[in-house]
Amino acid sequence: MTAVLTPTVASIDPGLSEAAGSVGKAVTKRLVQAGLMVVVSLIVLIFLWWAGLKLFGIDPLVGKTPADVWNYFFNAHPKLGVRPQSMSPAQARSEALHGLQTTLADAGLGFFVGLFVSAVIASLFVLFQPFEFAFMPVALLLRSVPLVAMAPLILLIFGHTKTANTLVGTIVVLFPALINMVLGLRSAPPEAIDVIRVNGGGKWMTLLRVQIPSALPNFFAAVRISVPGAMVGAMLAESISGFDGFGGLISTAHGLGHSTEVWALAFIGVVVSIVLYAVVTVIESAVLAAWGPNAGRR
Amino acid sequence: MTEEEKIAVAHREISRRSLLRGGLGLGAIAIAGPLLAACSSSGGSGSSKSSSTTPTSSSPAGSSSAAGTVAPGTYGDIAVQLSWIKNIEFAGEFFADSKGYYTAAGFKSVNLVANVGGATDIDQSVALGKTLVGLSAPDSTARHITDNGSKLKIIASTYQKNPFCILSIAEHKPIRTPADLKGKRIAIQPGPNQGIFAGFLKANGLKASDMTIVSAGFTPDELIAGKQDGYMAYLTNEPFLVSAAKLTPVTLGFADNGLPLTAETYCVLQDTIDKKRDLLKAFLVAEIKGWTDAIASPSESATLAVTNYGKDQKLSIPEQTQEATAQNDLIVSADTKTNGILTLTDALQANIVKAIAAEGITITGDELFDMSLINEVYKEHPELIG
Repeated sequence: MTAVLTPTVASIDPGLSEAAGSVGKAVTKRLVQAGLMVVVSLIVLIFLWWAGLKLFGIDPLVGKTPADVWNYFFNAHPKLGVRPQSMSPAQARSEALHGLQTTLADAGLGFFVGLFVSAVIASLFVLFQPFEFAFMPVALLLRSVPLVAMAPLILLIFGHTKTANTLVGTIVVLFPALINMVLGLRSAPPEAIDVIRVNGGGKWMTLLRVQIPSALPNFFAAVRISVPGAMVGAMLAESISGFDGFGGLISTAHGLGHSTEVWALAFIGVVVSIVLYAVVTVIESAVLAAWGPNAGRR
Repeated sequence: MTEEEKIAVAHREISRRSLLRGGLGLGAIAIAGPLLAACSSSGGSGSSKSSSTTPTSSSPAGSSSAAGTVAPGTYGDIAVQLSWIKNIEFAGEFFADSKGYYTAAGFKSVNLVANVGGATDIDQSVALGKTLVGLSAPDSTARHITDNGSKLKIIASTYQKNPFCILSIAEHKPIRTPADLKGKRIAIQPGPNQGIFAGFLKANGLKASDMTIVSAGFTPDELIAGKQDGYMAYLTNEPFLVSAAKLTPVTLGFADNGLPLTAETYCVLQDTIDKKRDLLKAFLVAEIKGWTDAIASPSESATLAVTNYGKDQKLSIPEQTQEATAQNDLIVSADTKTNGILTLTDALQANIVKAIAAEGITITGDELFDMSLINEVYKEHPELIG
C-alpha cells in the first residue's frame, strides 16, 4: 500500500512549487475570456433589446431604446419622455450611482451570508448524515415557495430593515449553493478519502483535506448562480421595503411613469450582474489552479 | 343616538329627493330627446365629427348628440381604468353599470378595470390606449403630460377635496400637525403618492430627511401593528380599518394643510376628446346619474361593492357604508350644488395647478383641464344638477 502511495504524494510536491506559474497562466487566460464574455454579452443584450422592441412593436411610451437610456444619462436636452424636465443628466447619474451602491451592499450581504450559511450546512450534511434528512425539507420549502410571495412576509416579520433585505438575498442564494456544495463534497474521490483514513485521519481531516478541495468546482458553480440571484433578491426586497437601491428606484420610477429610468436601471442591474459573474470566473480559475482537485496538473 | 337618527333621516330625505329628481329627469330626457335629435343636423362640429366615426351613423337619430337618445350599443365597448380595488370609491360606476345608465347612454358594455395591488399606472394605461378613461389624480396626469409628452386631459373630477391624509393611531404615536411628522416612521406607497407627499412636505416647510420614509404595503397592517407611525391614506378608507382594529385613528388631512389637490379625476386622451366627444359626454351623463345614486345611498353603495363588484376583496358592509358616507363630503360641495357633481370650478383648477407646482411640475390649467364636455352635459341636461 505505502509503495503505491509514495509516488502520488511525490507528484503533488512538484505541482505545488509550480503552482504560482500555472495560477498566473490560468488567471490571464480567464481574464481575457471574461473580458470577451462581457463585451459579447453586452452586444447581444443590446441587440436583443433593440430587436425585441421592434419585433413586438412596443409603444415608445413604455418601450425605451438603448439610445434613450444613453440620453437619459448623458444628453442635456433629450427629447420628451426620456427624462423628467426637473432632472439634469448629472442628477440622473448620481441617483443611479447612489442606488447601485445600496443595491450592491444589500446584494453583497445576502450573497456572503447565503454562501456562508450554505457552506456550513453542507459541511454538517456530510459530517452528520441525519442532519441532511432534518434540514433538507426546510431548504426545499424555502426554494419552492416563490420568493415574490415570501418576501413580503419576511418584511412583515422583520420590518423594513437591512436584516430583512439580507434574509431575502440569503434565501435566494441558499438552496442552489447548498445543493451544489453537497454534491461537490460527496464527489471526493474515495481513494483519497481512504488515504486519510488509513493514515488515521478522522471526519474533519477528510473534510478539510479532501472533500473541500474536491468541492471547489461545485462551490464556484454555486457562486456563479448566486451572483445574479443575490442581485435579484436584493432588488426585490428593496422594491417592497423602501425607496432606496435599484429596487426602490425602479418601483418609484414605474409609479411615476418614468419609463426610461426603469429601463436604464434595469440595464445597469443586468450589466453589473454580468460583470460580477465575469469577476467570479476569474477568481474561480485562480483558486482552482491553486487548490482545486486538478491543481498543478497543467 | 340622536346624531345617527339625524343622519339616517337626512339620507332618507336625500334618497326621496333623488327619486323625485330621477323621475323628473327621465321625463325631461323623454321630452328633450326627439327635440334635440331634430336639431342635431345643425349641431356643432363636435357632433358632426363623431357621426362620421360612429359605426351606426346610418340612422340619423342614432348619431345625434349625446343629449339625445342614441341607438343601443352605438358607442360599443369601452374600458375604464379604476385607481384602486373595486370598493365604494367607485360606487358611482357600480350604479351606472348595474342600473343600466351606461347602456342607456349608448354603450354596449363598460369594463371597469380594477387596480389590484396599486401596480397599474392609470395615466399610462390611458395614454397607451389600453383603457379609454382613467380615474387618476391631477398631479399624476400632469406629470405624464410634462415628462412623457402624453396628450392627456382631465375632463371631470369625482372628488372636490384632496382625499389624502397621514393616518396615525392615538394609542401609539399620534400625528396631529405637520410638525408632528418629525422623527416619525411614515409609510408611503411607491409611485404618484410619493410625489403628492413631497408636495405636502414642501407646502408645510418640511423635508423628507426630517422623518424616516418607508414603502407602504397594500394595507395599514404594519401601522396597526405599531411598526409604522404614519401611513399615507385616503380619509375615506383606511381610518375605518384602524377603527375596525379597535384603535383610534388620527388623521392629518392634506386638503386642510396646504395641498388642495383633488383626486379620482377622469383622464382621457386629447384624441378621444377630438374624435369621440359625444361618446365621452354620454359617458359623463351615465357617470353623473350613477354618482347621484351613490351619494343618495351609502348603504346601497356598500352593498354593491361588497356583494357584487368587489366580492373577491372580502369587504365588510358596515365599514364600506362608513366609507361611502365619509366619501360624500369629498364629492359634494357648495360648488357642486350649483354646478353639478364631477365639475371643477376655475378657482379649484387654479388651486390644483398651484399645488402641483409645489411638487415641481409646471403646467397651466388649460394644458391640464378641459371642462367643456361636462359643462355642455349640464347645459343640455340641467335636470342632472342636484
